[in-house]
Amino acid sequence: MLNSLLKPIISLFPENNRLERIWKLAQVDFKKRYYNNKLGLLWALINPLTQIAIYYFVFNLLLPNQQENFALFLFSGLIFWIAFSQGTTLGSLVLIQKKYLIENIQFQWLDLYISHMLSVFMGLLFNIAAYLFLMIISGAGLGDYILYFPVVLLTWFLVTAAFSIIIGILRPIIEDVMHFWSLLLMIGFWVSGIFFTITNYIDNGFGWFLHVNPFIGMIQNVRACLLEGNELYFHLLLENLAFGIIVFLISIFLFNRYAHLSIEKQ
Amino acid sequence: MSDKHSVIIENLNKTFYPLTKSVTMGEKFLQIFNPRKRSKVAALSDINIQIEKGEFLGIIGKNGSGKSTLLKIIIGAIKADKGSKVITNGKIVRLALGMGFDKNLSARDNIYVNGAILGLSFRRIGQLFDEIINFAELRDFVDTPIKFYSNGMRSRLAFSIAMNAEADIYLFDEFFGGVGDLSFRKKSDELFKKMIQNNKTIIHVSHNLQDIKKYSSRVIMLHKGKTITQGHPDEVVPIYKTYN
Repeated sequence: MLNSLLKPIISLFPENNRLERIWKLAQVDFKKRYYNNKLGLLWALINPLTQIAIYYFVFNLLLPNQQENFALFLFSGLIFWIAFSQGTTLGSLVLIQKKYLIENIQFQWLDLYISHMLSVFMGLLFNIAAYLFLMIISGAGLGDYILYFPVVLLTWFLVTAAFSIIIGILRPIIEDVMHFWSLLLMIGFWVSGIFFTITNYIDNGFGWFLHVNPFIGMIQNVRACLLEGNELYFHLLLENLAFGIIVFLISIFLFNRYAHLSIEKQ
Repeated sequence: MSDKHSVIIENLNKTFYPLTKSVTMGEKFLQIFNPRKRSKVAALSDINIQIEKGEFLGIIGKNGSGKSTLLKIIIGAIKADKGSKVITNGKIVRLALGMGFDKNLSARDNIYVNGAILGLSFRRIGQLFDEIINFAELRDFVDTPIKFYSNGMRSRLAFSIAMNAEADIYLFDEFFGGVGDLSFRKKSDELFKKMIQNNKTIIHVSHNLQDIKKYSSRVIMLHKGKTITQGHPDEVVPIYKTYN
């Protein structure tokens, strides 16, 4: 379906275009991840839905809280975190899995990461569509700041792409980087505002932490866009976007400088 | 670079720093205070080669002489040491046995991925698709994942994609002789002749001296990362034999 939607757009560009290459790589990546399985694209949904069911049971039924639309509140945060987590973990394998292309054909290796991100982004879009469906059937409304959603998406894209690239370069050079990254993802999962509102941090004296972990502001602003009754933190929107741009530029610099080393070490 | 040349290599050196044991973060941390001496392997030393457009260059040498490393440097997968100069002119594709495919994808997907990376548009790949499949004799297995292919089927597909890739420089890494049965090799032979006529540059690394003598206009012999000699196959091959 995505293919038929994007084909007319791609055909607008001239032939021998990088866009076709990037799109093809993203398409096969996505296809490999979902279509080769019996349940196909449903797997993209099963993971976050299972987690929502567990956390909803724990935090809403066993430990009741005051949060309105708690399932949607959780869903909106979880899908962005899971997409980041999967994006960076799979991103760490890009140079390893695509070595067969790197060694045999001359092309711009960064295209591999652009297509990887496109594939992860397609999975995220699918989850956002599922979120909107749940939102409609549960009778909740969109947030007041929906127009800012592209900025939040862009920030997420830049941050995820940057860490995918950095971890991807480091993985073949430093063997235990993935253990370290898994640990960070586990910590991040609990301290990135998936379960709490931003005021929980501020009221308990951890306001400074909003400037350390960009995901707190990002997830808060996702909710401001996608779920009614949530406030947009404009200064965090800009701060996170700036962080995304800077870390992305750093990752490109590191990629240009060390990707060769990473390939040699495999 | 003049239009006359496809590849110019000057003062090429490549040193590898192999790790004797796995590097963990703990070890890395300790190395800050007690730096470990790393071993050095000079894979290539002071290589100078100029390859003309349309030339069929053979490279021979024993295992570990640096032949494959040289090809990987030409294609850009490995970076040469500082001070080395490697200039290429045109689209390059390397062919080696068992290379170039995602085994979980079908031949159809692999043709599109490889073709797109080689710079062909979807339209052009579509036009070439039947030719690639028919040449590789894989019509009945187009949508079968490559992992179920035999080595011969994979090699034929890789060869067929590469031959239709419209590349300017072809790097054959021990690939030339062993592809397919007699009839396929006959077809391949005709295609090679056509490529040579069409001014394609071919760099052929092999131990198969028959193929080297048959096709190469010039042969370079490498030994322990150094150029020992270069010239007409009839001159270089006998020298190579004395090294075995």
